[in-house]
Amino acid sequence: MTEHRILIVSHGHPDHSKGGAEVAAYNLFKEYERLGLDTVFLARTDQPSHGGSAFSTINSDKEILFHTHMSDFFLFQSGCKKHVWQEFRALLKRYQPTVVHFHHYIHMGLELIREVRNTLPDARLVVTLHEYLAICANNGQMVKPGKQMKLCYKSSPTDCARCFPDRSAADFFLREKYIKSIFNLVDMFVSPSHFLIERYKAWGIPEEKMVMIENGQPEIETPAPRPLAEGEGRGRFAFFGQINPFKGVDVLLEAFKLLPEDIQEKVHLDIHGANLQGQTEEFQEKILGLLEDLGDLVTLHGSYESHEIGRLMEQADWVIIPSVWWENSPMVIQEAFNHGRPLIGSDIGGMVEKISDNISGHHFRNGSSNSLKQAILKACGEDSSWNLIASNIPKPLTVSECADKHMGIYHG
Amino acid sequence: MGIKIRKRFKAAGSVQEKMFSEQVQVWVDVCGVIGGRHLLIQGWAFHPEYKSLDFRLEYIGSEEDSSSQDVGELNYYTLRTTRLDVNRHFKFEGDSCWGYSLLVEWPYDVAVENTFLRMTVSADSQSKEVELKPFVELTGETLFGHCMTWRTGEKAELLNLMFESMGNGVFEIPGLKKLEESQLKSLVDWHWDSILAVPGHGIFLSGWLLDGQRDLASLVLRTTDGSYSLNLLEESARFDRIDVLEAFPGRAEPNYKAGFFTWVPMPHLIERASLEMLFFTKEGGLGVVPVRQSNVREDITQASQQVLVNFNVDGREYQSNMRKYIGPALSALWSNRRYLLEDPQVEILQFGQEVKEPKRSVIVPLYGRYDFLLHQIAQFTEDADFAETELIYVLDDPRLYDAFIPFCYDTSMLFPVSFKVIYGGRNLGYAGANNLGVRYASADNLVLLNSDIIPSCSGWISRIEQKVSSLKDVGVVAPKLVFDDGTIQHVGMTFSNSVQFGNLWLNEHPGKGNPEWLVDIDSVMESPAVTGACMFISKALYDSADGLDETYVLGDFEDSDLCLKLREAGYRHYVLADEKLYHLERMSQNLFENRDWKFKITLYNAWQHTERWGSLIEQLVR
Repeated sequence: MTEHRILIVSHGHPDHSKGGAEVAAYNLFKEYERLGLDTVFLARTDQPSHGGSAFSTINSDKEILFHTHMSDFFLFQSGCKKHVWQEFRALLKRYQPTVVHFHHYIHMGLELIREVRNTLPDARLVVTLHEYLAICANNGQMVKPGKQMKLCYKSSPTDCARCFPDRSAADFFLREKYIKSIFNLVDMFVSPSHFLIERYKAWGIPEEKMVMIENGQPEIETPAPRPLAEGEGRGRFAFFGQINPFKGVDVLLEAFKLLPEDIQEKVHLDIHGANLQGQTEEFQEKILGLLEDLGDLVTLHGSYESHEIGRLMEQADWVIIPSVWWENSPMVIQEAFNHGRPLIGSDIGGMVEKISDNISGHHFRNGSSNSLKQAILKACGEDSSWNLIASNIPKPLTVSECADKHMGIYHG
Repeated sequence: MGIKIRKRFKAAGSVQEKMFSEQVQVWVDVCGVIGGRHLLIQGWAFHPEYKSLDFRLEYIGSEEDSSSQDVGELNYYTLRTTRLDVNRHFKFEGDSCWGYSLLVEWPYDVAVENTFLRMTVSADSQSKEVELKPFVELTGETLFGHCMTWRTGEKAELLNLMFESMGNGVFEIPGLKKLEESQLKSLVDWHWDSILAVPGHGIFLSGWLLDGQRDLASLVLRTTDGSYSLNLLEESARFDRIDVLEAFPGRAEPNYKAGFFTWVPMPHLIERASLEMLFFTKEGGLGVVPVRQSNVREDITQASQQVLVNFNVDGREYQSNMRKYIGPALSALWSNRRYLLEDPQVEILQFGQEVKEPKRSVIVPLYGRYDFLLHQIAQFTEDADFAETELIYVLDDPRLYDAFIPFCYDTSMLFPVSFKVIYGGRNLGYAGANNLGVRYASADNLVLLNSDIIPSCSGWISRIEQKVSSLKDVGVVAPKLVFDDGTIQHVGMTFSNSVQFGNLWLNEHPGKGNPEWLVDIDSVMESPAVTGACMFISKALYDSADGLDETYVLGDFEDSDLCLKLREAGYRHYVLADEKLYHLERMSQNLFENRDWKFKITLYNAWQHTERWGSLIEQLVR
């Protein structure tokens, strides 16, 4: 079919870190390989390299690790610019990709995008947007700094400077100008949610340069509903993901605390979450305190390998996604759907877009443990419509359909 | 009023000359003799119509030799100085310097008299002779007696002129005003963190000096047997020492650089030299403070660190500091070390049956870990070439000796490969260890091999030798080396210019870390240099170049140095990319981010390498 050479750039390799973006990028790469396409996966790593080289390989000589880093997270500046204009440029020159698809620029630097245009003016340049990094300097979350987790609806240099007192409006003005100067070089942006497209459209990316492609899921046999003991309700809830202030685990635990005692006896929450140790002491204490209060009601499991997700999903009736930030298209929603599990999610952003209230799951008011409590009661109560909701779940996009859609935009 | 007068006189040109001598006012403050060989004539001269006046001094001879042709030019320096008293007297408000100071070199053996000299003051073509005073002997104390209204900078300038003319004799002017250490400390403060003496080479001095008011004219280190340093105020690197400024609030401006280091070359420095630091103030005061040095011997690790600790490789002065202070200091430390170390006491151990008339000698230095020997020998056992190979391990790490020798014994019992161990009794460095091994090599051809190189298949040595025989002007030949993941470690070496580090040439392995399909490789490639990790060279050629250069510190650049030396002599270097060996190059910390002293040592080596080979490299990489 095509003579494409597709370079996929990812900010991490799933063998090292299993963020949604890394996994999505890698799935795409593996699918292109499976299709017999000429493709290379370039993944940034923070591990030291042999002999100080910029590159090494992993698994095969088409999976190249890029040992580089970023020095400035405000302007996304490469911490080793020579890696960009020497090593990365040499790779581009040698491989001559017809498509360069960035699944991220974080940890590597926006200069990489610039460099593709410098060296390969005709290559198709595609960037997948995973958060609101370009728009928001608060880790791209569009949530105001501070404990209240106030949602942010729109950025502007003056508003942003209010969030960051040590920076001026002029700093944010320059930041926006700079990032847009790089984004202007991009032919096509991919976003896995319409919500994110709307935000970037409001920020200034032309609508026609953006396309929604949901992350692809592996094709699996949908597992049967969890077998119930006699008289048992659909009361097994599960949380998947990082335990950090943006993910709303505290809201979740508080909601379980608010449940009436007789209900508490009928439900259970499994938390499959990583990285609690990496959080602030204050946050850790809060979570551990809540866990202690809840006792047997909640089990804190550690992180999990991606191949374990099926087994873990099978043991759940409901998956809860209580994020207090907008999210984009959380992988866990697609994974839950792929395994036939309905969701309870916050009523904002990517969650409200992907989960239809009372059709494929339930909504609750963002950040409100009381509202979440109500949703839990509804989900596990006697008049629970679990069966109906589970049967409404849409079949997620498969990896191969996802690759197909991407091929469509690679042609330009 | 002045303007009116000028107009009138300009109209009458004929009277102008007369008017000049009338209008010009000249005064001589002092005619002095300094130490018999220098004269100092000072005073002021004022003319309301001119901004500046010229002075001329001629020798018109003593009465005895007035007839001879000895009459003539004198060497003298003219300094114009600020005289606020003169300004005030003439109600002058400009910024002209009416004071003058003539420092005269007196070459004659007779004592000077004022009649021997004619001094004229002039402007345009008009002049007036000035009557000199009788000469009197000036001592250090009275030197600045007539400079009350001068600016401090002008006094310093006079001192500079004296240095220029008299050299360190200035410090020996009789009667200089002596400053006790306590008096001196009221003006300036200092502390020397290290005074490292390298006998026969010089002294590395570092610490801080706080002279916020710029009171010092010069700072000089001298030995009591009369060697002087240059003025260290000019010959030193200065850097920020916020801690010093904080400890002495108000003593200096916030941007004052109190930090101080320098290298004082003293080729005649003896081990027990007594040293003094001379602080010479702009007011002509001299403080003499004894300093105690510590002599550096063989162990130079700490001294190297002290030399490098304050060396800022990012600064604008980085290059000149390297050239003037850091480079010479390190070079002195290392050459003194080599001088002090005795010849190695060599021990040779043969394991297995000695190979008679070997076709080649393979030299492998071992440092840090020795288990590589097992891994190499396990592979070499399967390789028929090693029946005709003299394999020499050079143990370059005394810490390993006790465990290493039994390990060799066991290994030789289990793996039928003959090898020798050569031990020099101490750490000789990468170049030194190879050179020692080569000294005991008996074959005509050499293979220098790193211990962390493992072949990918047998027969590599003879195949490479076979290929070499068809190449032209062969210098050094090396195979392709790859990392454990199969990515390129070495397919030749070239040089890249580092803008960040003052255009130093750094060695570069093109394609390093790339999978092979990303790199252009031919089966035979010429290269400006090749790696020392696996190097084929004839022993005669190696010896002709005096082996690897041992002046590079801690193992760096020796391989490219050898290659460039041979390149200059017309030899060519080749990479044979059909042969592949694994090179498990150590995980290196990113040298260019971790700015510790080892990094600075690398930079020093790079600097040395660039000094030697920069111009050849430029031709090669162009």
